[in-house]
Amino acid sequence: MKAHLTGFALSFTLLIGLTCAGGAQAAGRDFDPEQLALTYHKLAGKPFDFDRYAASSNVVARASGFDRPDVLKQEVARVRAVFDAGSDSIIFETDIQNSISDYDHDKGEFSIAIFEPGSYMPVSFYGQQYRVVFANAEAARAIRMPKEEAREFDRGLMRDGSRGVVSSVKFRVVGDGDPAGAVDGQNVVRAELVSTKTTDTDGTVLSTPDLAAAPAGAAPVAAFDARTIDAAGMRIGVSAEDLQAAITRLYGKPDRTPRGPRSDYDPRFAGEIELDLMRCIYVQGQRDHEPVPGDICLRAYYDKDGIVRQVRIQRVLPRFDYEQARAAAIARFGPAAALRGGNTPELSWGSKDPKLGPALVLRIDPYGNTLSFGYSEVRAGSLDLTLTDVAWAAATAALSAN
Amino acid sequence: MSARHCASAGYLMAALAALSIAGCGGSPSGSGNKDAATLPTSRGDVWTIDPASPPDAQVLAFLHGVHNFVLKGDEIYTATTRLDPAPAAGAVAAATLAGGLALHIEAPGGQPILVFSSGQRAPLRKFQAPEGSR
Repeated sequence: MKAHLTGFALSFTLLIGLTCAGGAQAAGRDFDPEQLALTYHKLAGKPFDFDRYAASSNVVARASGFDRPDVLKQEVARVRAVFDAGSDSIIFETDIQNSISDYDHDKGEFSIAIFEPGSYMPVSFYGQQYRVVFANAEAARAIRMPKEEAREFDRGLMRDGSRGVVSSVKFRVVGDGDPAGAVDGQNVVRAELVSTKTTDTDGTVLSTPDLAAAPAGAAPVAAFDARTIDAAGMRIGVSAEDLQAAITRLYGKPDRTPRGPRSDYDPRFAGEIELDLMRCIYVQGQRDHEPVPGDICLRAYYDKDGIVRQVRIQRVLPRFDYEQARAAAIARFGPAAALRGGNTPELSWGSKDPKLGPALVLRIDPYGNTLSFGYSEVRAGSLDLTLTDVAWAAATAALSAN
Repeated sequence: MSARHCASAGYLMAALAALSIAGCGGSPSGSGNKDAATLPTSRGDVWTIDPASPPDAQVLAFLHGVHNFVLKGDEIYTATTRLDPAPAAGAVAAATLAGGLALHIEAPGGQPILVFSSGQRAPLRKFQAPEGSR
């Protein structure tokens, strides 16, 4: 995926100082990775093992056996204090060495690499990589000018034979995940640029965008309401009868099955409506049907009152472009909460139920990795949407635990 | 693509007509989700995009639920969602979609085509539910 390649390319060209000693309580130039990471864990609600981290610190390792328990206690307290002080008002500051693109004659602009979709600033901390993504980067990405000016600009930039530049950024941590759904990883730090200035290697200022008027693109995850959207036309919160009738009309007669003693799905569901999920998977030697573009598979679960609480719909398509699908999905559903990478990336939106998953999940499978077990000649891709009523799930969580 | 209407609706009193139209489907859903709609169960025609359409058009169509839909008059229903209608000058129907996108259906030479405002186009064909094949 191009987005990932861009990110990796940048990871080798950062100038940020990452060797600061721990314990800083105020961020500033060449910020402390510990403070950034702990602020991220706090704001993203992601757990952090304070005891283990403190036990591995140099200060504890250097302590004598006699003093170690006390030193460990102090170190845990210090780390917790950094965590507790974490907030979205802390301003981090650093310099990022990156590059400016060739002039785009169609768009009339140069583009700064670190602010392009899929780019991120890698920060190493405690043996893990934290990928800082600027949610409002688009406002800082382009340097627009007419072609006549661009020629002179380009000549000046290339005085030293390089397109390298330095982007000085001030930013704050606002949450988790890349809202553009282009950067994945265990720890994707969603940040918001407060200001940025890009200079060439001689210090000449090339760009100082006004970010005040730009949307942050960092809407809180909780703003996503699964009840106000549809998954390929299907909604939750409707009656099972309505959905069954709609499926029958649009796709063919589905099977509706009340919960039985052998049903192994979530106990909060009272039954399911299914339209041949197996149609979208090829099992060699067991079925003569290979998925072909146009095939549809779906399943919906309803509760004891006959209200649909989860819908899943998958459509087989001709092979398609991942980036186009990702961008279209972000435009359709808004900033994503998370991206899970791999051969079949998954974008997700909204809050997450521990058992039923996120409010909305889109599995993007441009090459049909999920369409067969083992080797197959399936020449197709698929898109797979699952929409879950997480508000209902939260309200019925106690029932699920029984 | 001619839309059919409830034949009886025009002959009944206003209240009964309203009930009759609701009976044809295409009403707001009474299930509790105020954004949902009930798909017409018998009126209108079901259309599907040609699976040989360009992939980018099919991706957009699926994400917006218009890979299969009911067209009733100039109203477009995608399962339990009714699309917001838009001015459809010269088009069979038009609707606004999420993310600033819009679509319209045109039928040059009688062949209906789904056209997105971002330029993607997908030919449409009448959908027939596979009998006994599922």
